[in-house]
Amino acid sequence: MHRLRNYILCVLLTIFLFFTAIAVQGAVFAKYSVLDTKTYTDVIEKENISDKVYNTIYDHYETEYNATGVPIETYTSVIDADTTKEMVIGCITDAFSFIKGDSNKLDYKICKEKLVPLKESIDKFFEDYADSINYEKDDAFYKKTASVYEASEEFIMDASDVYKFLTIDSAGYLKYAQKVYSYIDTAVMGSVIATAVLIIILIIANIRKIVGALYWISISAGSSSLLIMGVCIYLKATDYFDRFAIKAPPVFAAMTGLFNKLTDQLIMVNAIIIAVSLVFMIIYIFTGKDKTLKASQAA
Amino acid sequence: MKEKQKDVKRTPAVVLVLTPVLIFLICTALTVVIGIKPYNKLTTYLNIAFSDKMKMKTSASDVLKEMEQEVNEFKKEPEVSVSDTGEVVYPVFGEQYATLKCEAIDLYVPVFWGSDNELLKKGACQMSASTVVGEAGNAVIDAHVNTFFENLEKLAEGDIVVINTSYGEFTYKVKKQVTFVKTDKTYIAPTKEERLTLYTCVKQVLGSSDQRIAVICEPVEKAFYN
Repeated sequence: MHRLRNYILCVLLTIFLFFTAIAVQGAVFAKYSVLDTKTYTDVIEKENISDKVYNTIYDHYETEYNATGVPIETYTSVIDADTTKEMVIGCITDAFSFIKGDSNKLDYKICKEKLVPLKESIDKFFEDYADSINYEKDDAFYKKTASVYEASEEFIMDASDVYKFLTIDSAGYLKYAQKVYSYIDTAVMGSVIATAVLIIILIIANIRKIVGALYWISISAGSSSLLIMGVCIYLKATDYFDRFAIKAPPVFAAMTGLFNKLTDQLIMVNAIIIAVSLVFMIIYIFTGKDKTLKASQAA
Repeated sequence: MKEKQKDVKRTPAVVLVLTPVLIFLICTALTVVIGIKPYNKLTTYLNIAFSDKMKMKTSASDVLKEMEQEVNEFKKEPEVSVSDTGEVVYPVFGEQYATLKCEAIDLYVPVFWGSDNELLKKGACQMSASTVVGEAGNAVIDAHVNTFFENLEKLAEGDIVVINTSYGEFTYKVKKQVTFVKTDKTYIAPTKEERLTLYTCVKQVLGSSDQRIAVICEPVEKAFYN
């Protein structure tokens, strides 16, 4: 009867441990991966996103030349591949300093600073053009130069914001991310403490044969990891992220690159947890066997 | 001795094997039940963010294959007989009812019925006050100089312009090119004789242009599908 009661208690504790294990993984993953700037900048490097953004900007102004008559050199003389990279990374840095509460507004300060030479370049082009045709610089002239710069700033910043933080912010979700970030340490701490408490109770419940706790821990850790890994493998095997319909190539590469990276990280972590769980199970099986042999020899 | 034996009494192997399986199944079932609402919410957000028919397909390559198939089907020559006379089909506002082709300036553009800013971004637009291609009168088509009609001024007398519609193919020859101020409606007004007028703005870097450039074409061949 005592054994059955103990067994049921261990099963219940293991089920709770399953969920706290998922909570720990979720909280730690969110803190050290999803809400870490490095995760995003690594994808930029790996997928060569800044080059794709530069090509988008270049193609846009090459096409726009027919419409505006503003030659592409006006833009490319001040915005090169390196500047584009700095702007793309600047967008991420700005977005995360907003999420982390370091700034009150998502205003892409770094990006705007990089675009100051562009304003000078556009102004210079229009000044020279107006002089070449003896155009009187009236209000319409200054309005035109200002509108060309504003449109350029908007387009280049939109192209550089490959993770679309501005769109997410306008939908109100960055504020939600801010909230999540402010509670993330509490979540990590809480889930780790809950897991530790459950493990201690499991050890106490198996005090007569402590190695039995390894059996239950391996079941909960292994099961939760198996479930997470199963979902991740499904996402990878079906090319789920590649099916996202994102028309802009840099945004597509950034988004799918990010999701694939996060999935790969989850697969790796959970594979390690499953391996550790198997080791725990093997220890339990062999330690238990040895004990049985010794006990029967003693008898 | 009896107590010692009780101590080391092992759990049956079947229980040891079945317990992890059962716990896994219970936990998975609980996770699914708990996760249904968040999953639906997440799917909705993903659909909003990345919605497109591509998501419904098995992979992007499948969609590309389908598109290729559609293009190949489009390329097949229609097996229909044609005649000089026939009936036109009146389009509705915003409908793409024709394509305009001119090899001389490498132009291939969809033609929409009616004209507004959104349609002008997609292609050339035909004024709904003008005549439907294939009927007697002035069919007036315009597009932005910065997009589809950027090389319109390069069209010279004798160049061929072809318009394909769902009811036939109509070939025109460029007769002349004219420039006029935007308030002058002479060239875009209705006419008795059948003609095609293509027009756009004269390119201006500073401000908008008051000048328009038009290419007047006369019909050379009509092929109504029977």
